[in-house]
Amino acid sequence: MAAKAGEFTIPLAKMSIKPVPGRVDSKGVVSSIFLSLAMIGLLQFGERLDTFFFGGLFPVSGRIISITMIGLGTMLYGLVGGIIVADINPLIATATGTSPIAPFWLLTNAAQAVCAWLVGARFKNVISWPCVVAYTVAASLVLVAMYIPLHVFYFKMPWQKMLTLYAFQTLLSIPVPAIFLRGLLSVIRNAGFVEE
Amino acid sequence: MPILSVRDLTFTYPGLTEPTLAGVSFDVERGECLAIFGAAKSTLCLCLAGAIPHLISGRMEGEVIVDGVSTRAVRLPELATKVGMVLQDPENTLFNLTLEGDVVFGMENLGTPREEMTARLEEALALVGLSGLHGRMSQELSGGQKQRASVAAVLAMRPSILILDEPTRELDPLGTEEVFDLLASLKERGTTIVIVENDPDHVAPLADRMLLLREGRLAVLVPPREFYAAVRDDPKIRFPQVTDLYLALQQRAGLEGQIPITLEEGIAILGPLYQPARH
Amino acid sequence: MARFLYTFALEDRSWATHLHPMTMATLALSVAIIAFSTLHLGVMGATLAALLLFMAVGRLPTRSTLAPLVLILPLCFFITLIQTLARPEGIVASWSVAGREITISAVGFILGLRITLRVVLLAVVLTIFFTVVHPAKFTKALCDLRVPFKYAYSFTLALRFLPLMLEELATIKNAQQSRGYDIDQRNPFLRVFRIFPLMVPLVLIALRRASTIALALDLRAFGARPDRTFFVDVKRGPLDLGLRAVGLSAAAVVLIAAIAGWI
Repeated sequence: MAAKAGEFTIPLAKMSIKPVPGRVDSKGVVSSIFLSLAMIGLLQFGERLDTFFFGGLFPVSGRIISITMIGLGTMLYGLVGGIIVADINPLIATATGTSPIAPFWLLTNAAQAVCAWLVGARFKNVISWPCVVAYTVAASLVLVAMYIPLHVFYFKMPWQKMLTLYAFQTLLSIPVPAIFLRGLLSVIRNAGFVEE
Repeated sequence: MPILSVRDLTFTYPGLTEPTLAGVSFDVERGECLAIFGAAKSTLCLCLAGAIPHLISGRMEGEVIVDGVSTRAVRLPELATKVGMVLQDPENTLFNLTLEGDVVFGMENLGTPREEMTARLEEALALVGLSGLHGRMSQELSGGQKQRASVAAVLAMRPSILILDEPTRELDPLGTEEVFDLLASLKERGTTIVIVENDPDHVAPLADRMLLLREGRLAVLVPPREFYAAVRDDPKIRFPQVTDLYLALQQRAGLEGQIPITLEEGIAILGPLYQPARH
Repeated sequence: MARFLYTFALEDRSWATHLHPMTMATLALSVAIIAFSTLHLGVMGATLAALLLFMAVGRLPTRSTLAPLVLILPLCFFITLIQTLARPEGIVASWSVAGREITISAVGFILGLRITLRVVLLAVVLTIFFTVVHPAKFTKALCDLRVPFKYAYSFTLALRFLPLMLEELATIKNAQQSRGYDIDQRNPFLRVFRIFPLMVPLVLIALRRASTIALALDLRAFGARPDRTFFVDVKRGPLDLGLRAVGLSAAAVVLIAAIAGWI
């Protein structure tokens, strides 16, 4: 069903179709792949910050960029597009030797795409502050919830002592990606990538 | 029967009121090379290749018939065996990691048996002068090699018509020479070519006819010499240097005779007029 | 041009690159099961030794295959540090700093090293996987598992265009620099917060290029038929079956032993 004037629904790249699976023609799939590659390029800018935060155990910049780009991919192309953005990234990072344990992030990244879909599907206008903030809040909280078992069972971390770090990470990963995502969605709308 | 027929083709992009192409009609014979100039030439190429209406939305009226089949009536994959299109930037048309992977890609998509793919791969690479480079990474090829590889990838699908949209735009002079040498040899083999190209020195000797679009309408469709005579006052059309010189001399000095379109013709026609000063 | 892990597979210089991709995936999965099941030093050490033996026998390039492990050194350091400082048992030293007690735990230190070894195991097997597996064969293997081609092909497409996108990013950075915006001059810890002027043009370029590539793909009959053929051949031989059996058996044994409390 086509969106009404002033409505911007998921997937923005073809609003007349459902968000699941979303836009999965050649353009949708290839665009999602390219957003994932853009994500890989952008992640290098925050490497030092993430290394500082306990070698990547509590990534801040990685979180900010992944929430932004995966949210963007999902809102533009639907759930499948978002999952492509989310999961191509760790595979390519490992295959190119830039992050040998990136497959850890397959599930956590996919979860962000699911958050973006679940939140975005409830808004008639995803290019809005309420939508992007709701998404970044949901994604940040889901990530904390997923990281705790990873830290506890795999890295044997004492999660109670990590609460401050979780809180700090979450505090940054709500507003910053929201600002970035809102800005990107506006630019993309004005650049003509939104289709009925 | 012409291999390509365009009948009253009109196309309007979404959101626009004025059509980009308006009532264009022409035929292309088998083995001919047609060069297209003017505005909306890329849109016309996309219509000829079937990308419009299958991939690009808009309102299309009229008909494009490729090798007896209307582009509207068949799916795009079936059209791919009849018409192959090479885009401007070869970086966007080599999708695989190796040259071999790129050349066989289209054949794989069409379900070609492996034995036949092997034969066609060798044939396509030989045609474009890239034999023996099967395992070369696509990224490591030079600009000219990449564009030739794009042509090979299309030729491997054995289309009846080859459409090239500014194939040398991103290339250096050496790469440009390589591509045009290839096109000349393909034309000698009888391949039908439709080309959009802004390099007149290379296009003029290759083309059998030249087509000019003005405001989306077909304005001129004649062989090169007549073409340049007809558009001599059009500031948007670039001329071969020798043709430009001849037309200027024709206008100012009243020269008469055949318009040259190659350097050799220019020398033959203008050479006798040159008398070095004697001291 | 940067040399990525998969370049070795494309060069076809080892018998290991002829293994079925699913064999390598099975081995990776087996190692992952072992790594997740136990922290027993002997078991993990033997697994790591087996992987290094595979690399030696397969004539994998040691340097380029193990070089990415340098990237996980900070992670390994912090894991060990946190365990050493956070574990309440086996304390060998403690002192008070600003009213808070700092303790050093020998048990924690050993645990940290074991977890580090677990991380290294996974990192090594994944880098071996991507060194040995030919991307086109990986695509074929996924299609044999009924993954639709357009998704299975995503991996190859991404590998192909990653260098291009990194080049585009470098160009954008230079362009912004020429306009007075230099992200390299920023505090390296705060760079990510000022990344927007790079992010926007990169995303737009990505989407525009993707449109053209998608058009080119469709013009080459991409997705035309579900029964597309493949030029690369992916066969399963006796070595594949043997390696899969060994890998899965080892994983099963370790898992059972871990559950039973024997290790």
